[in-house]
Amino acid sequence: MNQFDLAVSIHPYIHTPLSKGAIFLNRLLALAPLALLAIYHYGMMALGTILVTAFFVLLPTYISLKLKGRRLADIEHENYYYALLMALALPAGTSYPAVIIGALALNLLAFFPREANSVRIINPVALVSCFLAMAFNEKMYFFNGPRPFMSAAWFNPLPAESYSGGFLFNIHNEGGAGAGESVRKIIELLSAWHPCHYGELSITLCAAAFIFLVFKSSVDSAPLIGAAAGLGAAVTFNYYGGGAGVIISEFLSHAFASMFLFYSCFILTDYYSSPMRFSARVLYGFLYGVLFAFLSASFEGRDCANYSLAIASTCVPLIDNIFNSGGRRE
Amino acid sequence: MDFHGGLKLPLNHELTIDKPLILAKPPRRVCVLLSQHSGSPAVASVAKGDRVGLFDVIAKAIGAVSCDVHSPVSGVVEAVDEYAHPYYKYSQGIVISADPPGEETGSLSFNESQRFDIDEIVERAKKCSVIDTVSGNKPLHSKLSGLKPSLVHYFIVSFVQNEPYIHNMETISHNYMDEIISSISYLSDALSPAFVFLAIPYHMIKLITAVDNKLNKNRAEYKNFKIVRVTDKYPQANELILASSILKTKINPSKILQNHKCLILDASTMFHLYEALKFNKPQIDCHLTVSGYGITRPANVKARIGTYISDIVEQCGGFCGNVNSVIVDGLMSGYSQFTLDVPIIKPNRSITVIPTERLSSSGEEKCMRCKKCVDRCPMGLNPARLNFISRSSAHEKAVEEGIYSCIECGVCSYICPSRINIAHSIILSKKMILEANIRRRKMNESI
Repeated sequence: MNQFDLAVSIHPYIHTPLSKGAIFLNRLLALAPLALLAIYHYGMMALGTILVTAFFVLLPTYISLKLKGRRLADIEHENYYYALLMALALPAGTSYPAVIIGALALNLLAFFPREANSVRIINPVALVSCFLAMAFNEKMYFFNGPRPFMSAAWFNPLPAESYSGGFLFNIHNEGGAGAGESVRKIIELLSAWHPCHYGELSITLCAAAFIFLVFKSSVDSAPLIGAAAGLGAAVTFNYYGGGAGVIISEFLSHAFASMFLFYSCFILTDYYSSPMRFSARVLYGFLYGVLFAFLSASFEGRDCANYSLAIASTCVPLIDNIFNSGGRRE
Repeated sequence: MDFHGGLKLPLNHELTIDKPLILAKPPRRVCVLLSQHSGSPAVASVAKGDRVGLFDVIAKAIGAVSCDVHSPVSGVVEAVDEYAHPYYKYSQGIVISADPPGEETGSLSFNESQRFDIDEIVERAKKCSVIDTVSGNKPLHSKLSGLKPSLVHYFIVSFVQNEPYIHNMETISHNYMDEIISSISYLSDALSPAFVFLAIPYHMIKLITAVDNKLNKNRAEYKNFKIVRVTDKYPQANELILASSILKTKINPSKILQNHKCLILDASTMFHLYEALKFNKPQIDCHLTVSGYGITRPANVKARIGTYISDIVEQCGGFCGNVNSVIVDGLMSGYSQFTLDVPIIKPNRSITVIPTERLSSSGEEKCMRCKKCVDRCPMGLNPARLNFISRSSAHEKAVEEGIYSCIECGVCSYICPSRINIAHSIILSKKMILEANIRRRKMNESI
């Protein structure tokens, strides 16, 4: 019996089946339908943006692996995930030099300072997106141009649409009507399903992807809860006099007719840049929601998701400091 | 009853839950280790060649937190030396060559009394060397000594066990229900607590029904007894977590009794206390769940202390498949053994044999700050940060971050997707801080 060669290790001897690789693979799987929808809708413009972004996000990692004598297969799922996320956060048809600069900047911000967590405070995707928006705004029509994913362009009549504007355009315009009338119109619009409509499909896919990730324990829902609460609070504050109908329609138009939902589901929930404690993460999301509502109101027509998130993430150390010992049993 | 954090683990009880409790074969040779409990180990009072009877004291307690060690067999002392220990690698032990079955010497005396005062209970617990397995395997008498009726308001008896493959508490409870309830009753009569809570997890449905029926038969006698259903989450069995989830308050670990007037014991301890009170029987047995997919015939085994793991494994049909890990006391907080020539000791609960392919063995990756460890830590700590601090040897910072509050349950290491051994870093750091403090104290004393 005693001839067995027993291995000694430290407890626990079992681990959750959810590994780091599995989490990022799940996230990649969740983003894949959104990328396909973007390619289906915007064609070569979206495909070009996605491929160029992915290539230049992965290139430095590939080179560093080559220098270390490792294989291409050693690139982690995490790198692929950030590459696709960055691509989906950029407008389709962004000029390639801008895409390349963005991809390389993401590399510097996201992958290389990983050893020192304190450097990785501001969300890299949001930061790169802000930088590109400020540097290439006019050329890229950054805020109003077509995007691989959701955008303000949604408000505009889309080609081959049987009705103009899409349902959120109508919700937005019905905001001035009486509360009961507005809610009735919203229900009417929501119940009319238009499968070809990009906006409705993208919302559905985004929500489905998030639910899939929650089901697979691959995303943290606390910031999203906070973001919804923050947006709701700010919209209520802004449109308090307009009644419930206006508040609901403004909330829906802010949440769905912009990058808000996409940022809330995938970029706000970035593990590296969110605070440590659950309540701190809710507060972080809340801050993002409030900032988004106020910045959107201040810069009408502009999509402020990236700015709101970049500003909110600068507050993470402060939030972490406040909530550091929360819930600890001494 | 629930608590913040924790994990719902797969219990894998199907291998042994319906199997009867069997007696281990009488060992031909036992090795009784002198570190049977936490605190000071006992000192051998026999030498090579001495003849010892069953239940004879073979090692004497030294210090307040210590107790005698009794012989689990009658026979002749072969050697007194250092032997492999299931927890500490090596410890002093006494090897006894056992008499053949039927030729054992040693007897028990039955006590007909139905009431015991607290001093008598403490005395019996001390004499019979009963170990309290719920609070770090301390001798029971050290926990009960000094107690008076006015000092205990809540008396909690834990039936909780949430680790995979282990259910020895459930086995003991089903087999010795009357004894356990009687023992609780004796202690309750001695201490007169306002409430006696029997904490049973939701998954032990049969046990809940059995205890409920038992209590209902004599409601007048058990009027202050109350069954409390607790969550199935790990580490609910921990004394601190159990107390705080039942009393719904934050508990100071070192002052559960003083501040909250709460005494916590478990069903296994209560059974051994019953044997001590009624039969004057020293604690020489332990009840083990021998399980895992690497063992041919998983079983619930009652074995004498000092029995080698190899003997128990052999009785259970030996290994099946490719096995390279034998773990004592659970996959979450147990100890993997480097040899099968390890004798079992009083606090042991299980022997788990896992085939190589079922053990996770991937290496550590970089932390991705997913905060799963923070969300799951039952003590509300920030294990990721503690791990970072511990690895950079910033011990003072670690103390500031509450490293001493860590109960070493291993939840953080289990849940970590990057497979970082957070619990290990924390345990190591605690040890280093302790050693540094001892060094500093010695230096101050010398100055």
